[in-house]
Amino acid sequence: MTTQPARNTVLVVEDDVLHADLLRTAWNEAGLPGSIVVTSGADDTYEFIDSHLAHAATMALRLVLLDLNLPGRDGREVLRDLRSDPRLDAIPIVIMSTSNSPTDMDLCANFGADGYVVKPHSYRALVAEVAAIAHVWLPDPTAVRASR
Amino acid sequence: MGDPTWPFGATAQGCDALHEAREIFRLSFEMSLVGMAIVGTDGQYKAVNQTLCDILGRNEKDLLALGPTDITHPDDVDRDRALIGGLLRGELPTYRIDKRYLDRDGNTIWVALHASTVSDVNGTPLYMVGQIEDLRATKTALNAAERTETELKTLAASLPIGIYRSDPNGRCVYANTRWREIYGIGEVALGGWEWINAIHDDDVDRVLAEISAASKSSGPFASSFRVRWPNGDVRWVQATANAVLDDEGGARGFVGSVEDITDRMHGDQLLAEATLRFRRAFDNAPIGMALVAPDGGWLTVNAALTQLLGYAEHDLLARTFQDITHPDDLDDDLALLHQMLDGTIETYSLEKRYLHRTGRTVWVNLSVSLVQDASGAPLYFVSQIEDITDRKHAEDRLTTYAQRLASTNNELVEFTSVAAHDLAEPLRVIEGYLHLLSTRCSDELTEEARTFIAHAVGGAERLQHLIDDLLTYSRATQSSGASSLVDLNSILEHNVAALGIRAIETNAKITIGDLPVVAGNERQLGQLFQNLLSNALTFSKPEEAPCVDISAARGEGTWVISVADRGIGIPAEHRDRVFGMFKRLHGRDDYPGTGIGLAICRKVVEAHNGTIEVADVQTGTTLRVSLPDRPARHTE
Repeated sequence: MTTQPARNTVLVVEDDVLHADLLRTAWNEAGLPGSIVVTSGADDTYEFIDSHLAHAATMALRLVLLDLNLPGRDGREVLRDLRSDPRLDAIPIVIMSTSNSPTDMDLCANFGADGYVVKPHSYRALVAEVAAIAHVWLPDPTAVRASR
Repeated sequence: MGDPTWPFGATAQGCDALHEAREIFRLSFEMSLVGMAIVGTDGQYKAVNQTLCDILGRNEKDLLALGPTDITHPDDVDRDRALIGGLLRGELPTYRIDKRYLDRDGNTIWVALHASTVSDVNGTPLYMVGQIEDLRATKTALNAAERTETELKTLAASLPIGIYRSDPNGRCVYANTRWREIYGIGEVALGGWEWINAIHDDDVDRVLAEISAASKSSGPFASSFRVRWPNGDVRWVQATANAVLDDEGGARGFVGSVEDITDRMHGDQLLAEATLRFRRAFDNAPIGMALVAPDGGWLTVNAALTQLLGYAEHDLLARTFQDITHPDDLDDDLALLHQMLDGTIETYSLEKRYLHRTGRTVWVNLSVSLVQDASGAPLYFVSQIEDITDRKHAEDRLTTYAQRLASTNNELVEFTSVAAHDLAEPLRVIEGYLHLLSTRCSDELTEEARTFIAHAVGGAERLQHLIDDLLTYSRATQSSGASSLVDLNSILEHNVAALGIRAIETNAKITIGDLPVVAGNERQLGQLFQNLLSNALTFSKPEEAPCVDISAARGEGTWVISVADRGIGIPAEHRDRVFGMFKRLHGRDDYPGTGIGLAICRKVVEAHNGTIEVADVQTGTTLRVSLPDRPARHTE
């Protein structure tokens, strides 16, 4: 493994495991590269990031998809924490939320979110949405084809 | 005077006694201080003395050539002749008259003439003897007196007060015109008319007593009383009377004046009545009333106020309003009071607290005005004090309820928002897995299973719409956020564009008039007209292409925007209900929708201080939205 190039890793922060599973399924159905890692709240997110950065050679965190509606410290706080971590300066953070409230959108933009996506209503739309996200935020679309 | 002028010498010759008598007569004649003349029966002067010559301004020689009638004033000549005739015929032994002569220059000379005859032993008249007294000085004085009297009468007639003179018995002997007017007796003859009889029955006893008192003390009489006119009218008069005393101190009569004071009495009466009315209104007022000194001391307080504040009247009068004003309200009250004393304000009203004698707080609505003297110096304040403690308590309760309601409402909105979000999450999962089930496991599913899945997906979709609308609704309820100028033309343009394929499919005809710029939340107003537009398309008649007309008109301080369609309309009895939550008038299969659309519209409009209503029209449905006008910024 160590000789292989680091794999694209997408961190999904989502407390609803079924939704996270659907997202992963949609990701795969869209034929997107990289692996999906799911954390369910603030604590395991920070834990993952710390350990990930320790193994930066084998895993390349490319994108964070962050739900706002989290138990405990909610997504807005997590966003603020992640954005204040200089180690993550280069990593885009895209919000995926059920909320289409402008207040939330403005707040997230102010906290440094790179994108904001309202969770689509249907599975089919979800597949299209994750494909669009990957297209915009994953740096090397050619890698998609290479990995397939 | 020499003999040649003396005509009687012949009869006196030879008799000493006779001579002596004749001499005495001659001297008396010549030396008399009254004018004397002897006139013959032929009417010619036989002898005149010097005094007469002086009176008549003629010399003796001239006079002896004339007779008295020759120099008598023409107006007196006839009477003169008649009297002389009477004398000469013996009908008159003597007579005395005032008459006029003319001097040489034709001037009138008033004289008193005393005439008699001298007869012979047979009684045949021989001469007439006249004694003539010069009346010129007396007459002049009399004329002056007459003139003075005339002037006085004229003056009396034009006096604004009535004056009169009466005999000692009170019978009127003179009264001026005004006096007659005041007693209402006009030209009625005064003889026997007694003013005492004109006095009103209710006053006559009093006035008689006053007259009696005045006469006992020999002082003047003055009184006010009512008089009754012959025609029945009643007037108020003020009368005076003074006794005119003779040399012995007895009353020769009375003089007095009378003045009509009816108007003044009525004025006084009105003032008295007004004062009484004010006093009654003050005392019996259901609210507290007080006169307050400029330094704050209570001057007069009514019963309602003593009751309100719990003090006895004398306790209250010993205090100032500052003493019993709640300390937190005193500065506000004093500030307004000083503004009023400065003349900055004329009156003021204030809701303030007093401290009841028992120490509890009394809320009042205080209204104060200032009464000044003629120079503008403050005399006292007039305060009206209304107990509003009950109202204040009710207001406090209302405020508490309103706060509780607002917080409950906020919780509800919060709840709706959270519930909608929390519902949305599992719904997506349901939809997602149903989708995966139908696509990835389709080989293993029976036809019936696929139908069931399709129904489940349909239900999930409806639930999704419901949740979306609920979220929109709860967001419209929350504060509208920043307000900006919103051009409704561009809002509608955007909305029509957003209809996209739907407008094309339904072949809808949408006309949009010139719309105003209003102040508000762009997103919410967009939602409002999107819902109205969507409704208009949805509730069209099944066989007709939708037709929507959007126009604006000026209302009173508002813009009224109408969204009119020619669709199925809303029955009059449902027009109020359509704005409620989950209100649907039609089956879901006929007309889709969650029943939240118009509830959202109402929320948005209310958040913009506007109104929305279903207009009473014959065809289709017209929704009328009134939004506050912003004319000053409209043209920006």
